[in-house]
Amino acid sequence: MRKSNDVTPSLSDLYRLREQIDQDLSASVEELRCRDHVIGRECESLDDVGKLLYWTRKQPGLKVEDEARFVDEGAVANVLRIVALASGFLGMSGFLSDDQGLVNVFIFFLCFVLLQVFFCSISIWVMFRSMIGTPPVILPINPMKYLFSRMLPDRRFYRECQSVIRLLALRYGQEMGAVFTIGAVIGFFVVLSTSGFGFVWGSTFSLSNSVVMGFTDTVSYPWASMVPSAMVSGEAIEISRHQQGVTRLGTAEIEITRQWWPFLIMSMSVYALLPRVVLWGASKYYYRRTMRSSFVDYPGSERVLARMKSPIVTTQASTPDSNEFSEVGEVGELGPEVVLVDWSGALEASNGDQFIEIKGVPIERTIEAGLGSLSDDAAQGQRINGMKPRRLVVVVKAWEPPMADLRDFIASLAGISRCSIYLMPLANKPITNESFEDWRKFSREIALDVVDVFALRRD
Amino acid sequence: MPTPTFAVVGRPNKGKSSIVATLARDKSVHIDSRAGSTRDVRRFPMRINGETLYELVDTPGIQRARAVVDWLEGQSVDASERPAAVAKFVEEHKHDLRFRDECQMLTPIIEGAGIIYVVDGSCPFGKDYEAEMEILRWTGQPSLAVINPIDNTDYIDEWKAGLGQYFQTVRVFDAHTAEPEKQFELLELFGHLDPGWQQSLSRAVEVLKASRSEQHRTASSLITDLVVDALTFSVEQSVPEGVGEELVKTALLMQYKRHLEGREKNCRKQIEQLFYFSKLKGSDEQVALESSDLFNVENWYLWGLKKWQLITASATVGLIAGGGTGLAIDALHLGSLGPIGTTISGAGGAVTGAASSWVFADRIGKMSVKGIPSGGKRFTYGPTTNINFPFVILGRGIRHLKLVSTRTHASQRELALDKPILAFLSEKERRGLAKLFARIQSGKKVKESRADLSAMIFGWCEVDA
Repeated sequence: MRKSNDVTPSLSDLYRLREQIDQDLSASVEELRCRDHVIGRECESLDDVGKLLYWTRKQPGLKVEDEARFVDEGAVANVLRIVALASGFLGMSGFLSDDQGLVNVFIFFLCFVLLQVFFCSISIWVMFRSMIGTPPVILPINPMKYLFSRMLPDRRFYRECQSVIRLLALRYGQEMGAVFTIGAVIGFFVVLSTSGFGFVWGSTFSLSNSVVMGFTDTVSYPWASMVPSAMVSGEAIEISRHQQGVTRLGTAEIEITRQWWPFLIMSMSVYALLPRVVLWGASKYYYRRTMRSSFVDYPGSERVLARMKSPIVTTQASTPDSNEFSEVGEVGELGPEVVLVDWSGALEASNGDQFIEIKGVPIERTIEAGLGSLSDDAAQGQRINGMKPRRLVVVVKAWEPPMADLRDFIASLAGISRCSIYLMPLANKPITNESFEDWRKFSREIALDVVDVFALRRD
Repeated sequence: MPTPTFAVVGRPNKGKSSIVATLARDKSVHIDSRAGSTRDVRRFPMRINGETLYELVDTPGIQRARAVVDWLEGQSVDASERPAAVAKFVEEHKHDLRFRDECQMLTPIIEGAGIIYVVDGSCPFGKDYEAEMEILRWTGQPSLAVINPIDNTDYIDEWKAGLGQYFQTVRVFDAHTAEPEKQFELLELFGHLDPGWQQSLSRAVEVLKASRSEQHRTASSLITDLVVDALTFSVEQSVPEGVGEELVKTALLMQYKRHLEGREKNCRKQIEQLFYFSKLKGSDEQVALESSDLFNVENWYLWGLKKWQLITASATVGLIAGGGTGLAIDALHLGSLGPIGTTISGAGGAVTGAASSWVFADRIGKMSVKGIPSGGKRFTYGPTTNINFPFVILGRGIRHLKLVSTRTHASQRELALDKPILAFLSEKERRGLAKLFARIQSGKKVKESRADLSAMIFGWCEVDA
């Protein structure tokens, strides 16, 4: 199977998937089976994410107004990148453009290094929470929230996809942070090369030179062996210490204080830019992973995939059913001159005298039929014809359905104007309405003046 | 190799169509308690992606068996010529209306179909059946007999003895209640009628088993989605100042109910369609379920938890929430207070949870009203705060799924909701579910909770199936 790990669904793909799954909840399962099976066969070689993406793109699509609300993610990202770069550049340029040409190292460090470290720490926490499935909510002051709520067609979707949106915000947040830092570094170099400012440090806590030396040595530990020139010397610390009343430094002193800039650039690169880049890479990776898993694990996706992968199994009839039924019922009464027909051994285990309706029929006028061969039936028919009855009474098994051979038998008799069919109940069992209906229907197909159906009652 | 075909034959009203409906999972089969409801041959091919693995043929009942036997015996042929004599009978009588049903029944058999002879085990065996069995013997096709006890099993032994004279294999199969395993067994048995059919039928059974498992998995996923929706759904409405609050609240409550009732109805419909019960719609069975209003709290004990079960479940959720808070308090004090914070807070949570489940047992959700900075108010109803509500939705879903998945397509019975549904849950399972619902509602580990719930439902329902 070809893996489509290079494919990452977008938010709009996830939205389309959700919309289609919602719509499918009211569709016919049979139609869905057929539709998705066909789509599944077209993309058999793709993995689950690829299959679902293919599936969403095969659907009729979103409503026009929803489509219009989806802002192009790439375009928004490009605008944000430019804004971040410009902000970094302008922020740094503005910070360095001091009237006195002196820049406070600690404030620089606070603004362009520590603040970034703080944001990176928050990002790590957010990423961790998102990865364990409990993403923190996006704060109302976060501009990404406003952007996403504009980008997504409805608020419910925004709520449902918090985890993915969190990681998307994180991904762009790190990228913009990194771009901002790059802008600041560029701004730093531009201002550095075009103006002659120097660095000073000072603190209300009256820090000694050795404390500051210790601080810079600690901070520059990661690059001390590789880039020793990016460390601050004791002389530079001593000279750059801010003195009350001193508003300008001499050219030689400024040259020495300028030893701070490689240190500051390295601090920005190592503590602000590098974590941002690493976090950006990580959030990009996790975003892709989370988005792919959100796509496959979206409620209902498993049903779509099952339909796409399963064969179409049918066991139902290939033609529609056209059977119809109608019903009517008739009743009648037993007359004096009768011949009793015991059909298919209905009276086999009983005596006719046990039943109110037929106990008066003499034994010599009781004929058995329906069990032997057709010639036997024909002989019995001749016997009945010889008795010239006006009325025929047929006792049948109530638990058996009427059969056409009884109709044939009755049709072979001559001179009969009325026929009564009596249903013999099975021992201790009532005769069902359905059975009556069967026999009544059967009685209507017998070509005699009157044919009625009754249940036999025990005396 | 031609497709294995099986003609289901027998006297009218002996359950031929019921057997076909059950095996073919086709509710469209005309099943009537009146005789002769099948007037024409109907074919039910079992297909996988268009490939036919076997075919069932429902036939009209035999009407003039003795006349057919008379005709056949009049041909004076030896045993080897009997199948040809049957074919000749069909050829000569195919336009004779008197033998229309017999010709329809015999045609697939002389074309090579195996014979599935169906009798009713609740009626006694009679000599008058021998003529039709004799005709089937004349066809020379492989055959087996199926005793379908339509009303009871009173005469099964009698039938077994009688049918044993004519058929090598006799099986009892209740088309109205047969579990899927029995259905699969019968299909596999069909395959044994001819060595050439065995592979097709075995494959078909494998596919049908896999398909059934997939049906349960999908149904479990649908019920899970419904429960998750019921746990998280809310409606809101912003209104300017001056609009009648009661009116808005009533409208929101109705909207909330309508949404969940609609979701439940859709879920049921899809589950029925999954199991090929598309014709249940509008039938008595459906009405019986529909009339049991989801929001009729008085009936909740049937579907959800009883009050004492509810209290223990709520106490568990409260205990965990309270215990968590207490643990945080103890941690802040670096354990200097010992486990007092956890104990007191946990016990408080348990008591509060239990008490609120008792007091608010009848309240589904909570209406909240918030002011909007730009003016007016926002009314929100839901998500549900009632601990029993997800149990009720789950219970109704499981009950419906069980009824539908264990129902054969021959069954005409009503779906009954007359006994507590979640009674089978152990105390541990109930508490586990309460925790799982709480997790879903709080938005924590929803994906995992959803998967757990779906697996639970699948387990409960597949075991019964």
